[in-house]
Amino acid sequence: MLMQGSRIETTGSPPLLEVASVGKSFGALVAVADVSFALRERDILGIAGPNGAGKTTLFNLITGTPFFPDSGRVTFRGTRIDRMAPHRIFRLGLARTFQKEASFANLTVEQNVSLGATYGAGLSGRARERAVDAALERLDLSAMRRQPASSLTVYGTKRLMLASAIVVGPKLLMLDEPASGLTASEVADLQSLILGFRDDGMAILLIEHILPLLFGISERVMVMDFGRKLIEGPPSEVARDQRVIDAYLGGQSEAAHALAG
Amino acid sequence: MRLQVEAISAGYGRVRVLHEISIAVDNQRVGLFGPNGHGKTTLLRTISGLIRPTAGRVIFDGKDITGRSPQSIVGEGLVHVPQGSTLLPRMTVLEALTLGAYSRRAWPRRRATMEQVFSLFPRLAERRAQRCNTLSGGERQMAAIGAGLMGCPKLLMLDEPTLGLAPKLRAELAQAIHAIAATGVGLLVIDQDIDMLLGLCDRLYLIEQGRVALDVVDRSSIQHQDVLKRYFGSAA
Repeated sequence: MLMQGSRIETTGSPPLLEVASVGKSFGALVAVADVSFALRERDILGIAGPNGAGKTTLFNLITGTPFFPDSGRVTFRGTRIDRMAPHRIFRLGLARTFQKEASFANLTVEQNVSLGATYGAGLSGRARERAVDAALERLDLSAMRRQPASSLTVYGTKRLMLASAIVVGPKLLMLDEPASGLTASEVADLQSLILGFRDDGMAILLIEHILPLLFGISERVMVMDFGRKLIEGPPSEVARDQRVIDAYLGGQSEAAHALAG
Repeated sequence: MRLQVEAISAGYGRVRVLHEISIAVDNQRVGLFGPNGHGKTTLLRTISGLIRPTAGRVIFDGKDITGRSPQSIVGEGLVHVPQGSTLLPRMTVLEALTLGAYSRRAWPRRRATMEQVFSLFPRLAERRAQRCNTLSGGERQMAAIGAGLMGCPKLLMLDEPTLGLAPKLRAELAQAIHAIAATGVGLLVIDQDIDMLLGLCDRLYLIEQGRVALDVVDRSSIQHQDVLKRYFGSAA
């Protein structure tokens, strides 16, 4: 039995996000068990693992949407958030996007982002306008601001989700499979966007199956299997781990090695 | 020629998505690739009768099926597995598969077909009594393809079968699709996983702005190498 909680180091500044032994069960199904990790400012931690391993559930536990953990603690910027309402967590500076592209289809692109600014950051008036303009510009959506969100392509909708998330100026951005369904050149574009967010001071938690993105930008990668943390380490180490190859990479392990360097 | 799409135009309301596009699928595996939002999915939806084209013809097995209903097109053996999970959530795997055999052609053979589906996807056999909304992403994709196979397709159209799948599962699914093709079923596949498409297909169409921008038949050609460089960066 590994004491995973003991791996969190306490040197230097306290972590931005600290997840300590969180767990969640649905009836007899253990979705997440005893998962611990820590994230510092401007860290990029990739989260990988087979479908159904509990990655999205872990995100849900951190953001309290739509449920709280059964056990364990989640601390963000020094504040316990594991029983906090989602909108309060958001206002502390934690934003996320979802696996399925989600937007208010009948509202314009601009209105969608404005909603994020209003309810996520409590902005109004000129401050809100400026924040919305900046977010639209950042995600290359300015030209489409008056179009209905439903008219966007897959990548457009993903960029809209990102704009609605970053408009509040989060300290931590949690991305759930942002690259799924994107072409190779869109993935490359997304990669530079995410690195740009990091350079602006955001830490990134990234669930991803698209290996060029996962291994291309993560400073560390955590792999989950059956709700548990299998390993956490630098990409090169994780890509060579036999348990990771068996459970997750399969025939694509060589590609992963090449990407992880 | 199994499937011929001849100068099809189609779209949604006043928005035209496809512009006189033509493609052909013989006894082979054909891949569609290209940027998102340029008409790949609309093309499959038009072929399978979900959208009525404003111009052009769809010929399948020598018959003009343009404008026919989706169920009569499925009855001809042209089966479309759409993108994402379209299984009815409260149905069991067994029910979902059985429903896939609901055409006159497929119904008498449903038991034998289901055995084949189970041997292709043993995981579905284990999960047969489970409701579709309790399946993992990969299992759901297998069930959707399995339901498509239950229609005894001569030609199977798959829209992004590897979407959201973990690498290992993606490789397993690619193998299963190979096995399907080996039984003589034609394939028309959309996917963003270029390595999978390259490994699977004899012919690739690049779809841009509702048109065929490039038709790559010979995979060893310079043109092919050029496509790889232009669209996939360093892939392959």
